[in-house]
Amino acid sequence: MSFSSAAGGVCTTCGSSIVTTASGDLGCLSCLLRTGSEEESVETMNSATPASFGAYVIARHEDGSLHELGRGAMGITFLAEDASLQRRVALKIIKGDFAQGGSDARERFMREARAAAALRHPNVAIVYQFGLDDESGQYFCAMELVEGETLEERVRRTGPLDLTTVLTVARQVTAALAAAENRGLVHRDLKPGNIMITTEKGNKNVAVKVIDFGVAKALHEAPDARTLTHGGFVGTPAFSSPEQMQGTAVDVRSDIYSLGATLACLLTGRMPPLDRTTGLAALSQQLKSAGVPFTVSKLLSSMLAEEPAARPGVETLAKELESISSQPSAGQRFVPYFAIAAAVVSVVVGWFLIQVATHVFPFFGISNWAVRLVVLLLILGFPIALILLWASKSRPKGIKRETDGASVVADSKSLVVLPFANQSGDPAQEHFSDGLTEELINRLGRIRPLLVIGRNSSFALKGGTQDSRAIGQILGVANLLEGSVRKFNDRVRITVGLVRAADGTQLWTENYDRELKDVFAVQEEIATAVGERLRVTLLGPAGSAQPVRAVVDTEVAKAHHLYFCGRHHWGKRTEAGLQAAIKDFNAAIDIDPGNARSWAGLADCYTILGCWGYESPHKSYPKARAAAERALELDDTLSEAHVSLAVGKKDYYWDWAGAEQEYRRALELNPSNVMARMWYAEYLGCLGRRSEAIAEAERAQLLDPLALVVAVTLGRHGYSFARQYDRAVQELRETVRTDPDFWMAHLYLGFTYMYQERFGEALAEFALAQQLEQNGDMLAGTGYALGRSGRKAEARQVLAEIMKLRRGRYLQAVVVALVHIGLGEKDEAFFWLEEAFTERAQWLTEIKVDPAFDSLRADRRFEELLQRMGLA
Amino acid sequence: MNASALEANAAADAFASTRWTLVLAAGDGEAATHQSLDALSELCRIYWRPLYLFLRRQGHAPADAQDLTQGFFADLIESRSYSRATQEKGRFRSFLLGALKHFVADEHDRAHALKRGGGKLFQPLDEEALQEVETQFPSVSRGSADALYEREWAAALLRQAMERVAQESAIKGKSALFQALRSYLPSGEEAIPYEQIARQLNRGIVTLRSDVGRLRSRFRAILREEVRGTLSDPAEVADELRYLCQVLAQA
Repeated sequence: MSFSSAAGGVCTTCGSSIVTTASGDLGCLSCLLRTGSEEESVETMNSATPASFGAYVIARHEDGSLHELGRGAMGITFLAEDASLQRRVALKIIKGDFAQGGSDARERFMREARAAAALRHPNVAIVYQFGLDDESGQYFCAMELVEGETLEERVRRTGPLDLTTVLTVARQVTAALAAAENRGLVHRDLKPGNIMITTEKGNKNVAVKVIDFGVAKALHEAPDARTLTHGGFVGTPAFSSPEQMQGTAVDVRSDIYSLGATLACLLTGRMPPLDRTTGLAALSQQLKSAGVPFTVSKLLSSMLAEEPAARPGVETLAKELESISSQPSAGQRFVPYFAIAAAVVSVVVGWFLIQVATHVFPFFGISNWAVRLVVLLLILGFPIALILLWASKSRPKGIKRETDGASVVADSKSLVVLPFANQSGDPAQEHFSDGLTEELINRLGRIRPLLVIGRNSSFALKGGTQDSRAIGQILGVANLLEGSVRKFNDRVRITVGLVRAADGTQLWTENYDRELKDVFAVQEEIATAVGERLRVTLLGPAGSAQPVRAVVDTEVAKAHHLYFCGRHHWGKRTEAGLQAAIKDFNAAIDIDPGNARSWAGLADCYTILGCWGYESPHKSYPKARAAAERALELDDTLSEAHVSLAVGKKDYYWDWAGAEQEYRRALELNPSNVMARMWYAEYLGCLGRRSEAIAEAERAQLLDPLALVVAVTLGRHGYSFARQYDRAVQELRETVRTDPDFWMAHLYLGFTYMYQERFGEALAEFALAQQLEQNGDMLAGTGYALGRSGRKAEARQVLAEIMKLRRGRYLQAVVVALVHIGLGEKDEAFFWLEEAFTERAQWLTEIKVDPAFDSLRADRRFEELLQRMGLA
Repeated sequence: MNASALEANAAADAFASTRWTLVLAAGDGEAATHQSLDALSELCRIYWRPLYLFLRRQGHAPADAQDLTQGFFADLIESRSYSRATQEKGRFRSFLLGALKHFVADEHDRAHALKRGGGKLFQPLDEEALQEVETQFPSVSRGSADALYEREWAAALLRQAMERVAQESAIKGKSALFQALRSYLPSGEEAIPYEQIARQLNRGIVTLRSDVGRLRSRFRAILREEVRGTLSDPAEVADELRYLCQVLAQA
């Protein structure tokens, strides 16, 4: 038998892969188990239900069957008529034999029911009456009959809803929640099936009403709650908050979680994943695939935070929604420059016409009434024309994206370079097309005021199927540069096209047929052409960009490829990756010693080796500095090289002013340099310039929204160091969900838990990080957390392991110091911090702000240490 | 006996909802009762697949895995090792895997069980079912042996629940209806082609909707009973279901 839900190994209901097992063809096991896990419904109630409850008479179909409106775990809702008032109502018959319960329990139920009935709000269906039918002993709830359909029905009928509608729903439901919060009410079962949507005839405006308000809470208080709801749980698992699932106390933040899950469902057309651990990553991917703007995804993630405290409150949520809704697309805000300009022009033209009419009409003997008519028409027409112009605001020109109130970039000039397609028919040529993509990202990033999305986000879209609009919304860009590379023998054909993201319009396209050795010239040509198309000016004085080498031999092209391989390995941030990258950069330099970027890449490798303690700082940083300086000798306009120098100045030489100068110069040369922004944020975080650090890291994230290394920097050096732990946990958890194999995310999440004294969770994260990468930092965190949580014997075992490792290789002394801090051994901690000072361990640069060192701050030795480092 | 009575009896027997509790209760006493041994046998009959596949994933050849599974059950029933394993008693799923690992690691136990002629007390594994499992093995063999075990456990549970719903439908003479609707158990209402099925079964759509509702309701109840049968504390049913949902979500 074939299952309707299975299509090509993927379940069409939940979107997950069909799990194959040895238990035969059961279809999608996840869906089947989910169905089995749902609350027992009242499927058989229909036949046994009497036709009237109190004053309410259930309507019947022509065939005599009861007119059912819907059904759920709590009961069945029928269309009914209030016989006394002669009005139609929705009558919910609640399952359960409450008459068996004690009077106290019944009173509790009725109290909750009455509280819900008192709630009056335009976005909440009115509850007319909660009652008990004496004959059957069944409770019923008579509610306002809302014409329309539930959001669940709407999504089933039309598929995912558009963003505007979803935001409208979100705003109205949030308003309902605010009203409920004022009365101390919690819905407890907010989901698409409990929100009615209506669309006015001839009007696109939608209105929503939350139904069943108070029913879930009343049921929770019901005398027979455990039987009725299996263990007292009331709600729908897929939309229920973690605290609700755990059966702990809930407040409005639980409803906010459910609203987040509901909105995600409306945008993706899929049920939210039941598994909280991996579910958010899947959801994030679904939202991305659905083209949901980054700002909206981020808001949804915050609503779905596991910790209630990390979710926005009703008021904040309302403001956020208002802010997003006022932006036509993904944080874009229209400034009607066009309309203002048109108004000025209209006034001038109008004045001119009046002058003409006044002076010329008498000359031709045209009577004064004609002059008056012209003046009158101009006066009347002006406001009408202005309104029309204002309403037309559809041109991309003049659109600005604003963050934190400050204009960051001219969005219409924002661009993402999509990975060029390799059409050579030879997978081995993939590196050539990837290399070209990287080169373009780098070159276009230098053009001001172009905003070029970083490489991580660009390459994350490789092989994707999203359309231009979706990509534009995900990354918040106005233009896409796409292309293909076809290589044959020693010639290459590159096709490049510029596409407007909003509507997929091809703005410009060009073919380049070149000999392979002309690759750099082609890249320069493309960069220039795109730049001109976007009407931007090249940055800096003529010739400041890396010189175009019009003719280079194939060996240089090989060096070019090696450079990109090096960057790929470097990006992994593992010891093995760094060693591989060093090999690649050295090989590239051997072939083409004049390539400044290869030298900068080499410098960055040594920097990271020293930073993570894979090599002694005394060995690695001088090498990094020499390589960075060599790069600058070759090309002092190379932004990357200034960053390489800056990091060393900060990490090892403790030249704080010099480092900042280099970062600023790097950003001046290439405002789109993501690494420059990210490491500058780290620098600012270490110095305790908290708000600047967060702002800079957020800018980096804006440039490269999908870059994990940027996300973890924002989490640790931004939020964690600013002691905004909930935000840090949220950011880092999201990163872990996106890529569970990214060890830095586990490490930083572990540290944040450690700061919150959630030692068990911290240890789990350190263990995960340790599985992925062997690093002294994980041992430090583990030892510290064990010591602080009273597991001192185990902490000492970790310490012994660290000391053993230190005998065989370099392991920064701060690692040892931290375990002693965890054990409460201050003198030993200071001894090892002194060792770290001698080593110039990178971690020392963070001690001014790192909460792990808080217990030492009051000691004068700590202050002295900061002074000697120039950090006091 | 009419169909309703048959169904009620079948339900009463099959709803040995405290099967694991019965087994554990016997473990505390001096002698295992027939009832507890039957309960254990029944649990083993339902859940042998996950154990067999666990062994296969660990690298045991089909014949060895079969002998080990068989020997393990014999040892479990005869030696009443469940009475000693206190830590993992709560969930039959955890207990069974822990006991199997111990059994495989302890050569003495293994040899002893085989010497006793393992399998005498336990019905031999069904050859046809074994062949079916072997056919499936290449496609299900991924991830760790533990993960495979848990995935298969969830599947065995669902299979058992589905089989029981099928049996009940057969008793009521509604096999055709069950066969037509079974694949739509987890589907949304919109995905069910009511008109088509109604034509096929010559049944009214309204009636058919009620049939689907009843079928789901029965499936839910049976699934919960099955889960409850593997737990010492019936209050943990929801937790166990949630856990199994996670297991499948991570697959």
